Amino acid sequence: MELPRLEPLWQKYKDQGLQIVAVEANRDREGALKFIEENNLTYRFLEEVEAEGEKVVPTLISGGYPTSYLIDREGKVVFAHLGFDEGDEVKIEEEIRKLL
Amino acid sequence: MSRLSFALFLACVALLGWGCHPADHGGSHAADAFEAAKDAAESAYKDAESFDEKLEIARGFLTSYPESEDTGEVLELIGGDALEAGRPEAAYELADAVLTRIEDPKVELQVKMKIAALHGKTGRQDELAGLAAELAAGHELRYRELYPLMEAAVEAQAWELAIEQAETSLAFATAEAYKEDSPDVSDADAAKYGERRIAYSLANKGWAQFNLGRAEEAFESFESAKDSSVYNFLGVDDTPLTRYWGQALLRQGEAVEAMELLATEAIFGSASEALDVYREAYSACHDGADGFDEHLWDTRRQRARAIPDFELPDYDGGTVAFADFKGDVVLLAFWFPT
Repeated sequence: MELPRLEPLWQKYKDQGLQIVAVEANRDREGALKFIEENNLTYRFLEEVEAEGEKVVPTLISGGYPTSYLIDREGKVVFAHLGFDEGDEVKIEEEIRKLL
Repeated sequence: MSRLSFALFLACVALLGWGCHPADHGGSHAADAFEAAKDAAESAYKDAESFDEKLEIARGFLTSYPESEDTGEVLELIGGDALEAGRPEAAYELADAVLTRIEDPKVELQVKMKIAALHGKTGRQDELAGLAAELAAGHELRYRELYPLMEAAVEAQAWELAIEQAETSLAFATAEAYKEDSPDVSDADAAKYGERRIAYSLANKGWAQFNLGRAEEAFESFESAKDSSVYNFLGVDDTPLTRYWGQALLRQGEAVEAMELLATEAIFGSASEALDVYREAYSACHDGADGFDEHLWDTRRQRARAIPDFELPDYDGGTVAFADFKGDVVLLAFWFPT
């Protein structure tokens, strides 16, 4: 999912109980902060942990980047998405509306 | 996501990642010149409007820097675009021209592997078999070469060759071999990913056997592959096993079994091909694809699994636990800046 395209979704649904959380997987803090600032992204950003042997991201995804999960109010993943196509944000929005 | 758009996505990744490692051209001036040439080629390639333009950019870059570590990437990129433009010959010619200009056996192997992949996509079975034999005789091939050769053979429907490559690659499907290839990984991960190689090779072997009409052996291979599969918390293994197995069941007329097998991988996996086979199985069960989208949503809800709790740092010095978001709908995205 292309991150700047998530910003409008966040603005539109944040008051209805949507959280958007982006995890930067390469620990490129400088690059990440620059990207976040340049694109005025206001949702939550986390980063992979430092320790080599205790990485978290590989326990959560297996397919590559960008991967996104849509998770319902019970904490269950109901939608998984790899890559980004033009128009994907429409599909993601449809799925979000079903859950809110 | 369609197969084409996924290929494009990979091509974008390849393009963006096109060369982070300039070869040693002796001194930082040469390295700077290389970086500048690469940046210029990259941006020109992105802006190019026709395949011929792209071809000339790639040719220019590879003529100046035939032996950089990016040679393989560039050939892969132009290979993909050549196929899309219906001009595979152009990619073959360029690869052959590059081969005459390189001396480093590692780069030579890289280039020949790209040619093998191209043979896979163009279905040139004899050329692929010849090249695979040549590579096996001239290089010490390891898993990173053997599995793409296996994939190319499957793609070219060169089933005997696929079985041969799958069997050869199994020698490297061990924790020890994985650790030799990636010395930085933990022993636990080496064991896990070494095992996963078995699943991957056996999935391809089974599919080749099935296509040779050896269904019983094929299903045995699939069963063994399953024993070595590594599933994530969603129940997805992201190898082609489920897709091949499901396709085999479908061709045997067992569409209900195929659907059951495929559902999780089709819905939560990253390969769109699994979803395509699942849709096919659904259509076979329901006399057409009507109602498939509704079915998909229902099945998603049924098969949804809880994401394991995790804790990660934010950029303000704090730590965030996923449990903090419970009760909300969460869109969780994994990314890295390019």
